[in-house]
Amino acid sequence: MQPKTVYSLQNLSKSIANLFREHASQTYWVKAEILKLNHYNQSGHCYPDLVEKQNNKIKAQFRGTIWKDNFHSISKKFEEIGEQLKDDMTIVAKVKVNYHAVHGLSLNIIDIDADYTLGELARQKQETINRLKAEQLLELNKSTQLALIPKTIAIISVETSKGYSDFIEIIENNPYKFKFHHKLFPAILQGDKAARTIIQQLKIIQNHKQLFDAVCIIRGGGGEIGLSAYDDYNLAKNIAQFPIPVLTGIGHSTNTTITEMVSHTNFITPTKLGEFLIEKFYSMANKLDQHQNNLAYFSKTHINKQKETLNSTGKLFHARIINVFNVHKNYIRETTGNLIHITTNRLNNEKQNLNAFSKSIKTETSDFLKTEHKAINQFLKDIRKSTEQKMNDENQNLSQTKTNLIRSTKLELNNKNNQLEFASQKLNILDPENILKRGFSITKINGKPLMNTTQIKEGDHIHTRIYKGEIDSTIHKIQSEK
Amino acid sequence: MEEITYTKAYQELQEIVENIENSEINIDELENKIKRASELLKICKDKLHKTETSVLKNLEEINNYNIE
Repeated sequence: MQPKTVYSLQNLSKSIANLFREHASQTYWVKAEILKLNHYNQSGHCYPDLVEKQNNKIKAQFRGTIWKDNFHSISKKFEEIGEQLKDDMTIVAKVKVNYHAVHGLSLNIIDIDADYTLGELARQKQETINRLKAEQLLELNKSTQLALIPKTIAIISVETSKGYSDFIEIIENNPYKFKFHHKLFPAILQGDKAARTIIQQLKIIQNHKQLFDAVCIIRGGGGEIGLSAYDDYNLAKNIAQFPIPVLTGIGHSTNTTITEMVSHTNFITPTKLGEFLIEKFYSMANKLDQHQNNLAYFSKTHINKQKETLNSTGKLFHARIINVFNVHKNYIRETTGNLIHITTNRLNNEKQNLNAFSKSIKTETSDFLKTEHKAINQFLKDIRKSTEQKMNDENQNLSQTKTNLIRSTKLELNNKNNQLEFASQKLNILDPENILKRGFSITKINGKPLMNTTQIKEGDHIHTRIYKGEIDSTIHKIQSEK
Repeated sequence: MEEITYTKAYQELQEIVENIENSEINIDELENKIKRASELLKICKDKLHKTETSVLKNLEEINNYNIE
């Protein structure tokens, strides 16, 4: 049995290193995606993770190194095209395969083809544009209606940026004293984090969208670096779908970014954006003034027109009234004339009639009176005659009655005397004195005439009157009538 | 002052001006319309030139802008 050959790990790695030196010592241009750049500020070196993906699956992966000096020169090249090395960037890099006993296999990046990256970025940008177009997002925010006066503004910017202070200066200190409401929503404006933080702030603003008239994304004075963040698909989509207008004033000189393309309106600098807002207010203020003038002018005109119409109507009316008045006046004058004429005629007629009537009444009356006078005289004569006759008759009657009265009175007196004589005789006969004379008596008990024995009892005292004297006696015995 | 948006106030103002321009308003209405128009003008001008404390207050209340 041959004894096993055992190498030390170091020996193995050394021989592998030799192998690479022999067979892979030259440089290669390699296309790869930087999954993560891993730049260390302190050392200045980068340790990028390089991958190749297919259908989102990693098919190859290498650890990379970019030494400080290389990174510096590469960065400079990228700056010239307005870019910087960053995660998720596809690059064509000049690499050397390196094997290190401790660190293992890696690709040392010596150079990166900036033009490729530029082309790649342009391609990606075009792809994003095509996608947005296909999804009908490119024009979506432009279709939102910008308020007549965009007064309340959400600003996505950084407080310390020059663009922001320029913008605030313009809207705050405008010479027309227009007043804006604005609120800053701070975000990182360039590099990897820009898209994400801007989207975050957009979401916060969207929660209060009823408050705002517009969103202004403002960046300025930051140079050309890191602008590719504004070509980010997600950022573009968020802006496009934003419910209120998004205005951009990003401030750079190279190609328009996708963010600017999808925005409602893009301005080349924050200052221009500020001036645009002032202009909106200014044109509104102008319109208001114009309306005010128009109102005054047209109401005046309107009132004058009405006045004129009224005046001419008045004049016409006046003329017509006068005309009608005259017609009526004439008519009345005529009628009055006629009336006077007719009345005079009528009065004359009546006067004549009355005269005639009065004459006939006079004649008739005197005739009548004469007749009546005669009749009355006759009547008076008749009355006198008949009265005399009547008085004679009555005188005769009266004297006859007188004679008769005397005679009948004498006769009557005689009769009465005779009657009296007879009555006197009768009275004499009936006088109790005369009766007592003839021997009769009157007995009384207790003052009352005693007529019946029932009135008395034995022992009673009775009083008796006779013709001459009176007797009181006591009853001895009573004999009742049989 | 009544709550009316600038756009609505401006639209109403425009209508009134147009109506008066076209003499579509009779004398009886004119006075009221002019009165309304000057109210609207004031509302619009105020919106251009005055800050609304209620809006400022609302803006003040949005303070949860946590980045990361």
